[in-house]
Amino acid sequence: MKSRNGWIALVLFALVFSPLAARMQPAAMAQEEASADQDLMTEAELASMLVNVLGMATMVPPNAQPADVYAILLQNGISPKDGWNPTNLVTIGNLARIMVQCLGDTDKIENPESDKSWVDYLKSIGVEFGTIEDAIAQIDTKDDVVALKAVEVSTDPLRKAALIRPVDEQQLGADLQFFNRTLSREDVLEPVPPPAPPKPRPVTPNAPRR
Amino acid sequence: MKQFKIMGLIAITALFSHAGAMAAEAGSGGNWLSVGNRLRFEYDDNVYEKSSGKEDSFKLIEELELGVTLNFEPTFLTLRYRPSFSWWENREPDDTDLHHDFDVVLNHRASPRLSMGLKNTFRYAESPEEIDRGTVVRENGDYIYNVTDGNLDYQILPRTYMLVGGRYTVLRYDESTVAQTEDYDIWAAGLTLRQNITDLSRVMADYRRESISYDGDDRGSDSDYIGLGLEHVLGASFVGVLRGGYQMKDFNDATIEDAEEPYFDVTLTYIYSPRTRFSAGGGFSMFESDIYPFANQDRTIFFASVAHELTAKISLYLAGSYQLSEYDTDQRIANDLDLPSDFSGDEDIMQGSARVAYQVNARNSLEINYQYIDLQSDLREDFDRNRISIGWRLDI
Repeated sequence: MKSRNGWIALVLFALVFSPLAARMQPAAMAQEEASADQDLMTEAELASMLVNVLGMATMVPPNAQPADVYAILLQNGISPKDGWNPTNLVTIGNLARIMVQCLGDTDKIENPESDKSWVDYLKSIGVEFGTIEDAIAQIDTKDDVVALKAVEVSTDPLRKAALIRPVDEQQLGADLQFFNRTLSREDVLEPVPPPAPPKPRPVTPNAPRR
Repeated sequence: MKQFKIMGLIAITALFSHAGAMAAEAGSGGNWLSVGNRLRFEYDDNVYEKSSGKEDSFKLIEELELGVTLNFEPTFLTLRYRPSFSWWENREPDDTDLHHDFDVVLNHRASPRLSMGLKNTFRYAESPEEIDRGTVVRENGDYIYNVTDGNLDYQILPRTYMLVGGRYTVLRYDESTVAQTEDYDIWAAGLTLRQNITDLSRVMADYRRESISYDGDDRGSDSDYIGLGLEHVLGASFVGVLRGGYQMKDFNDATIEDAEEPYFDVTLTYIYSPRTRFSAGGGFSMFESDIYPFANQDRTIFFASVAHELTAKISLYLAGSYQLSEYDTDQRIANDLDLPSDFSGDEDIMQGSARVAYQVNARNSLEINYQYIDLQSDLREDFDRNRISIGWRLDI
């Protein structure tokens, strides 16, 4: 038990005082503090809200980490211009891009590299918003969600897959029924009999020889 | 009993269809409700999962899905109810199954630094006793399964986050002879510290405590996990998570020695192009046992899946997995079964799946599905099974 507690203390100590922690960038820190203290939103917060609004909350693992949220959004073609960067603040261009992606109209944008094209497209279909919350309120749930994680392989007891899953649970990608048949004590007591060996061919001792 | 099931399903269908129609008529005000229906006609070549003397059957599978998404920003509530009904053309003694899935997710952002979540997963599944040519080949396996998860995520420093989580899992079988050895309760709790080391990478330190207890013969255990993890996001094309650590497991049965083993899991998502997306992963750990009288298995799993849009209306989905379960004779609980002293071994489980979906219009799609499973076991009967189905999916 002492060694176990020692391990735990060591891991926590290593994390908090890790040299990696010292690599924190002052500019990014200031940006994060700004977002926390002011009415600004980071891409991490936006991603978390989108998963809820789009109806994907039941499809990410319990106790989801940021990577789970980004993964399911990327699988469904929803991403800022340069991908999800949790420390970036949400810009009008990226918000317009994401709204169009949520609508499923990405292929209607003439110049995807230009933020203005995404904003102009929203204007052309009559979608207007003043704040990020206002924009999010106009996003509908998504019917055709793709969730590619066919098997939950996590070993984390806070998020690992159920031992039991119902027959034919849809994975919203390709169905893959996790094998879950238990072998109970009763099944062990009464095992299925092995297949009977093939019977020998009947022999007729007194059959006349040719 | 069958009539009650069918009448119940018809009533639920009518209720959901009515609710869906109302939501559709309500226009944007009805966006909180989604109703889906999936009907499949399937051929199954091995109903009883036998190695020889296979029995095949046609099957009708009806699945409804009702989703409710409520945005009370900063609080979000998601509900999902999915009953599914199956009718088998050739299965004795019960040719119908009715399953219920009900999920609730409640997320709340109390402040930019603090968020919390609650998730409940409920399953009721029927797996009736199976009789093949007058012999009971499997006991009744109807069960209720429920998992409740709660978590709190707090930004303690500008680049440092703390996640505290808890989970309670309960499994209850209807059949008393199965329940006496298979019913269990699992409690788990844990702490994660997450540190942003760059804008795109995070390192994590985990501590978990898990307690498993069975109602009858105690195959339970208490485990501690300590480990580290790494998350990396690369632009709009890649997300990877790697976790690993050490698990220490104390078994409730005094005849089994404590076990200490490493664990790991990795999950990758790769967006090759907007039309082609990959996901893959793998993991190894000590795990709950599927087989009595073992108290533990060493489980290794790998999987891969891909989604590819062949055209704007036709999508292809492929998935495959491999699982190796290792059962050690030294991790059997004390029991009165007359088993060989070396009763132990491995199970290899391979699965494959393919689906092609054709989107007829915004609400209707057609699909062809194929599923394959192959079990090779030292402890029970081997089998392989193929299922192929055609289906129609409706989203309201």
